[in-house]
Amino acid sequence: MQKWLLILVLFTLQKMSYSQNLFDFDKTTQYAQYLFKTKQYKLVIEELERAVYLSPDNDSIKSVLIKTYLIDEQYSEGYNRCKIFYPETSNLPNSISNTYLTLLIKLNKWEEARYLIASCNSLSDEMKKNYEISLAFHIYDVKYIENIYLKNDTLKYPSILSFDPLVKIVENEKLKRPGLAAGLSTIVPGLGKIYAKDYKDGIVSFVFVSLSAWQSYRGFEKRGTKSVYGYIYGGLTLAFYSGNIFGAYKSAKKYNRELKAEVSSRASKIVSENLK
Amino acid sequence: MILLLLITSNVYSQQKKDIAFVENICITSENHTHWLVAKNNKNGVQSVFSFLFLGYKSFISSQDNNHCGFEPSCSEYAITSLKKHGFIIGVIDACDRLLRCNGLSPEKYEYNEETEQLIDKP
Repeated sequence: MQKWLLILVLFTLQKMSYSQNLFDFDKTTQYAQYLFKTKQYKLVIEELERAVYLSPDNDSIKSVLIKTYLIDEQYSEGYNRCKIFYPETSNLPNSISNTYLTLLIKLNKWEEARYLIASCNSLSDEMKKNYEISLAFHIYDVKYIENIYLKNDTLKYPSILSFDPLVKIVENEKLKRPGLAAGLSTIVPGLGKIYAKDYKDGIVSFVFVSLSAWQSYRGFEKRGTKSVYGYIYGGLTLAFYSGNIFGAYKSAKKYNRELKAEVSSRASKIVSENLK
Repeated sequence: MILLLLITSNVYSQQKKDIAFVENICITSENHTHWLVAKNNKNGVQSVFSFLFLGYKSFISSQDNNHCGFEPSCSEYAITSLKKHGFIIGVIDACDRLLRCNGLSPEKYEYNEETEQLIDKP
């Protein structure tokens, strides 16, 4: 009987010695790696949050966690986590500073981004310059962009040269002035839209407004001020004319928005290529 | 014979479960987007225009296919814009949309492949 009892105890102990904790740091990070490879980013975040809890001083895990927030387009969450991990931005490790800066740009936090570039010790001077120019493109600060090139920083930091095509775009493609577009459409219907490079809509506006105005004129000419026909077309002309002015204003704003978005996305791509 | 025929037709008449089946398939009027757009009016002007809009949708527009190349349609755009920007800007914005309601510049808008319409929200 004692012999069997001993065997049972030994068997149980042996089983216990081989047991594994699936939720320890190593297993958690391994599983997170698998989830990352299979692009299950929301689950990666859950695993990495546990890993950060298990090893609070591990900067590389925090870096991957913030990057995952960025990849999963959870910008605000990533920004908030970063703020909690590193209240002082000057102490940001190099691996996190780039991601954090991208998050700030995505969230349009320009002032914070500028402060980070100036204060972060882990960024090299060349990368700081890269980010400064990229930020200027995001804000569409034409004067600042031109100044950087006049200062001959390109000789000191050759990677800045990759921004050349974008500088040319900014110099050649001026932003449209919505007020001017509206003013032009007031003088000649459709002209504001043509100014905002909406050629087809500009021509349609001109045709609609002029045709309805001509119909109204015909009505009044034939029947005088008692012409219902003239008033109906007159009202229609007024509506189309107002719509054409407002449309020109909107077209110019839309043109600016699209140009800024294109320049901004190309600037981000150049910075990430320069980082490699 | 006539009596038997009448009784037979009664036997095959619709039952409750058939009606329920049809009701599940058919989209009820409450689910139409224009009913949703006309809801939540904040003042008298919005209520009046929502009423006019529903009248147009129910009695005029419903008699024909949806020809507007945009999503939402021009009338839905107008009522949404009116609620969003107020009476004056809303009406002017709707007039601008009428000027743009042509298929000449599809490259300017996103395209909904399901409905085959261009997306242009106020």
